[in-house]
Amino acid sequence: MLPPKSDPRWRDLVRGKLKTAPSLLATKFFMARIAGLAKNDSSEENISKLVNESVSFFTKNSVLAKADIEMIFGKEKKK
Amino acid sequence: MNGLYTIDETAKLYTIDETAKLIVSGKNLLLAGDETLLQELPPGRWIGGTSPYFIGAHGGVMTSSRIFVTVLPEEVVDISTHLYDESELPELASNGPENGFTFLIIPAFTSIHRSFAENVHNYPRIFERPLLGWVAGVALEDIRTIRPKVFDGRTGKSSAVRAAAVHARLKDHVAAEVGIVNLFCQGSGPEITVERPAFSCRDVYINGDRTNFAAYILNNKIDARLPLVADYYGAMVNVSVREIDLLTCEVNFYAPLFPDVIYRFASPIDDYEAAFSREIQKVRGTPAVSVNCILNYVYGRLEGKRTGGLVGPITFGEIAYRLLNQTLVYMILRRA
Repeated sequence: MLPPKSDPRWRDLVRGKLKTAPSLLATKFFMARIAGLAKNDSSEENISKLVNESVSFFTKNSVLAKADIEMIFGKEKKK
Repeated sequence: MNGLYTIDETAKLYTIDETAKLIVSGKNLLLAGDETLLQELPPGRWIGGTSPYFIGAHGGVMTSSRIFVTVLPEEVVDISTHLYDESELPELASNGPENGFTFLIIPAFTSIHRSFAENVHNYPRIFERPLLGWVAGVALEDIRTIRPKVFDGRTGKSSAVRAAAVHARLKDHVAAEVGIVNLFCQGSGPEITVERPAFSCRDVYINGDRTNFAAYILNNKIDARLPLVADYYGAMVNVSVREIDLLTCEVNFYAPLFPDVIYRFASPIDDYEAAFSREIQKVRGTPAVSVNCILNYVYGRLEGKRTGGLVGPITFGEIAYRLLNQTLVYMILRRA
């Protein structure tokens, strides 16, 4: 399960502060694009926009990108 | 998660009569072949593009008398097709089904080819829905006289300037994964960067120093059959040299170079056939669709040679979310 949009790890991900080595091709291309856009415009407005895009991307790809999501945010704890 | 299908069962070279029978039977098809064959086919649930080069069951082959047919598996429950013009392409992902994939064929050396390559990464939601496909071509000796074409079998229309797409909806609990096999990785040479997106350039920055690229390649005796390679979060993306124009001192490419991306010339490959066999073994699952590049076919001398059991059309550019060169693109259907 993905963390809420307000989780600070989303901003860290977009800003390239989280070390990631995704396995899904779509994640690799998406992250490369997001990182480039964040580097060129680090304004609060742009980072928020990129966080929204990231949440949308991982939500839509939650099945195939499961390993990438777990690598970035950690495995979901069993209740 | 393993792939659901075996490509040998669903993709091979057929005669025009065999292909027509498959169309009439109502199968969902992706076709590649000579223009004269494709334009004689009956209407039906198919899209196609021109190419006379293929990797068939017995290896690489050039033929204008057969059509390469990929039968989309039964997990595809519905398709829609469309010929996109340049202004419509940004809608590509939005027009796709919520669970499925889009397969796109673009005619080579056209405005829409250029536009797609330079802008696809900014299309809305483009990475949220699987996108793959290829760039249609012609026999290498006909490049200057015959235009590549794409076909929408549902309408019977063809085009040399628009792109043919099939949006395929999948059964619930099946997901399409698009992947690549790239034999190349960045070599140990200098960093190469550019100022703006371009399919051609005069000057680049070599380790930060502005340099005429054509002169750099020639003076350093660089094998221009090797692509420039960029690292996209671990995905190696090639840009292949199409031509070095000594009159204009320009270098032309089969895909654009982008600013803010670091390129290096690739390390050389001795044996393409062995390298493909080795790399394809690393793919988890069996692809339902695959396409490979004309430059791998030519530079790797793949005529009569196999590529690790994967078959498909040989193309003038490969699409896996973006335009790629000298790369094998595949799709695996996985149980979700």
